[in-house]
Amino acid sequence: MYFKWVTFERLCINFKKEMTENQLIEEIRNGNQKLLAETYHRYRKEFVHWAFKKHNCSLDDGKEIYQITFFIFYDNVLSGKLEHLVSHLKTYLFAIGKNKILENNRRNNRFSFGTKEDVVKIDEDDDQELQDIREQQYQQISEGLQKLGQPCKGILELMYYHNCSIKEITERFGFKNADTTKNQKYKCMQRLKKIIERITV
Amino acid sequence: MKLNQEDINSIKIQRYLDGDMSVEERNEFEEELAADPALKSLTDTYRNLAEGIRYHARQNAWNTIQQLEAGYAGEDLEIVSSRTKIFPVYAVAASVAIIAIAFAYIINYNFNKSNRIFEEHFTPYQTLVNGPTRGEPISHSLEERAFSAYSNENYQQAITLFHEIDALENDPMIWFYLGNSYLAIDKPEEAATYFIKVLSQETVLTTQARWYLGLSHLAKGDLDEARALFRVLANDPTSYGEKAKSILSQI
Repeated sequence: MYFKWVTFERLCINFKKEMTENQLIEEIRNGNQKLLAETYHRYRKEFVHWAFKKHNCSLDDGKEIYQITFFIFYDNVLSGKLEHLVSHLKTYLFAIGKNKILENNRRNNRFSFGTKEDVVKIDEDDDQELQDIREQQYQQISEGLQKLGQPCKGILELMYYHNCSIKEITERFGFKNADTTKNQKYKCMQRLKKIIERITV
Repeated sequence: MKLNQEDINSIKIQRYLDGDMSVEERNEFEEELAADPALKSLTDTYRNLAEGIRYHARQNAWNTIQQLEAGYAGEDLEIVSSRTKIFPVYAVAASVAIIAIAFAYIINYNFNKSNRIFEEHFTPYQTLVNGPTRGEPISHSLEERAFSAYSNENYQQAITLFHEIDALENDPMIWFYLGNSYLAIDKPEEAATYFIKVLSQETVLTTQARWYLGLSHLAKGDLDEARALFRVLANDPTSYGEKAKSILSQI
């Protein structure tokens, strides 16, 4: 019943014409995938045309840059780094896109986007061997998180990726109080550690 | 339920990494870390777990965007062609349009040129302060958060935070980074305001502020203003002098 109400409420928000861009950011941060897809679609065509005409990118490059640009926006929203826009979302996206194009032009004079490694960077300062080791460790942690299941996986992601406060996590999961949430989080981390130890043995 | 030593250590490490300890507790724990390699190794394991969780979640976010793009597979994006059919009835209108475009081209020529030069030369100034990340026991001051946002190219957020700092203190360094942030989001007018403020004070950032103010003028299409600044900079013995000469040869 609760789920149905939340879904209905979100649909109402989606179709409100006066929804502000800051509300949109909050909705996307709260996991509204429909709105995310709509927003992705809204600027895509114009962005690709702009990259093609103003920056001489091929259409394929333009699409790849748009993906990366939109990922940066999405990542910033999810991780809480972007809560409020001081300009229009379109200006924000195009400014990121422009920087990405210029950065890439300066580096290679050609485009080389699209691989996960380019976007979800591990640590640029590490040498290749260390990066490989770390990537392997991160894959094991990903596997461990899948085995950990909910609510632990959600708690840890909210804590470490979404940078939510203990208060927010307490409210979202309906825990009794902040201490309960902290204890739950401590246990989840310990469980994750043990699962990964079992994977690596 | 009684906690064993492993549980106690685990909780202590997590409180440390989550920034949940008082200064006294933290200092005490850091002394323990220095004296106990096993405890240090366990702390590194938990730090690595936090990093891995972040990485996993970012990968999921990236996969989501890739899936959205995959939904457009096979789509043929049309780019407006410059070749269109011309009917006799439109001939006069077309002639007028061509003349108008020619005028517009002449008017915009300087702007496009200066904008291109700006794009070739603009890179946001490097950060001298690194922001903290969760999992590291660093206090989250406003300044650290602002520079963290700036380093992550989150210029909107950086602007908001730099303005908050600016309201508390008059610091030319903050104005300088505000200028850079505005320039990075295509707001050269606002950027110029802050570089001018930096130049109104005697600071070590004078050369840099002059360079970025020149670039702001280029981005606005103010070639005369830009030229005047780069002429002054051309005499500078640093690399900015050379870069200014290079731009002067193009405008």
